[in-house]
Amino acid sequence: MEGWSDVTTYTGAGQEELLLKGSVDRARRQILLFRVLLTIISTVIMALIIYTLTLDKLHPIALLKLIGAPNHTIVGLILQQSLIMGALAFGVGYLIGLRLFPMFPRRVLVTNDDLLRVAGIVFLISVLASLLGIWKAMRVAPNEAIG
Amino acid sequence: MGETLALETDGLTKVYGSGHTEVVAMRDASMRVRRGEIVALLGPSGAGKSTFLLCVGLINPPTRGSVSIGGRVMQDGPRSLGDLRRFRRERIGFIFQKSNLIPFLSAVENVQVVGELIGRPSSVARRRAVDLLGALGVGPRALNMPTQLSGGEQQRVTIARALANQPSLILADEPTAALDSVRGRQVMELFREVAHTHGTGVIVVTHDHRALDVFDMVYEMEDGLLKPAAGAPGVAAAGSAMAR
Repeated sequence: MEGWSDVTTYTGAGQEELLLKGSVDRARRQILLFRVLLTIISTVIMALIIYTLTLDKLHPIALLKLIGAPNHTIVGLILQQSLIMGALAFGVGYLIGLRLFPMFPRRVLVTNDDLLRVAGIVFLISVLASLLGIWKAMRVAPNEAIG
Repeated sequence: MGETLALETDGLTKVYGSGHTEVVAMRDASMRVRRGEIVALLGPSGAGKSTFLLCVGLINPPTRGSVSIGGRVMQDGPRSLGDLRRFRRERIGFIFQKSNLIPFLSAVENVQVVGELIGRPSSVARRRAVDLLGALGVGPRALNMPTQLSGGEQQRVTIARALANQPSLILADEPTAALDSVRGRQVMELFREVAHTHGTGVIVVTHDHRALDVFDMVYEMEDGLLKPAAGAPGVAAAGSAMAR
């Protein structure tokens, strides 16, 4: 077969590499790009939600500071809110996936490792998203509760 | 050894701005409040009453002078915000014109949160909150949200919150301004009872001259100067304290 000019031979590993480096690799990169973009957009949206929720609570936060609540308590409240939101999003996403994936033309395999990785990313997004709200809360002066 | 005072301020002065924008909001304000004593602070708007409360409440540092609360000198030089905040949550109670309850917590949770902030276990803080609300006559409303309470009930919950950390000093800024005269008088009498029962010093900023007989001592403030009010209860005692 090596003598045939219009045919190339590949080993099993070679065939796998050819597939992965070709159209599959391009699709993989595109999906990765979408995922990165979605992650950034999710973080920004979540940060804005947490920030808005914090703005709504500036008076109680000032009051807590006035009665002596330490900073870590206030940081904890905002972080907790963000993490709960992240956990809910993860749960809802997982349940939607369970319903949607069987409708896909190809089988979608989600392993436990994938779920753990996604959970880690959601945790990171939640922490990052809370930073803007925490920054705002830290700038509130206790005497704002009096005015 | 002399008795421990709930509050002693010495030469408190607060200056805002500098140069030709300098405003002296309070000048050499000295006051002594014994434990179990209730003191009124009168004066027109802009006289410096709120500045005095903010300095005494360890919220705004004075430019000069010292503040001792429960025998502990707290404002005589730079202190960390964390120190001041810890002292506030452990030793000072605050009550304001508006009830200032946390809107998304029930009445009992509003009181309980103070106990939890000073490190009490949740169940202990809850029990004390329930006891205080009961003692102040709002026990049956413990599970209601602030919006479900009347103005008087909200103010009672605020008083319970101010008492939750067993403070040496309670600072009340026009606590009856939003109440009618009957409710206002009841709240003032409640302060007196609280001061006497709990041995807490209470300073009440008020415009209500009708309830002055409730107070052990009355001060007035004008243009940043603090002095005992003429003809009011406790003036002689206050005068001697000031002249020391």
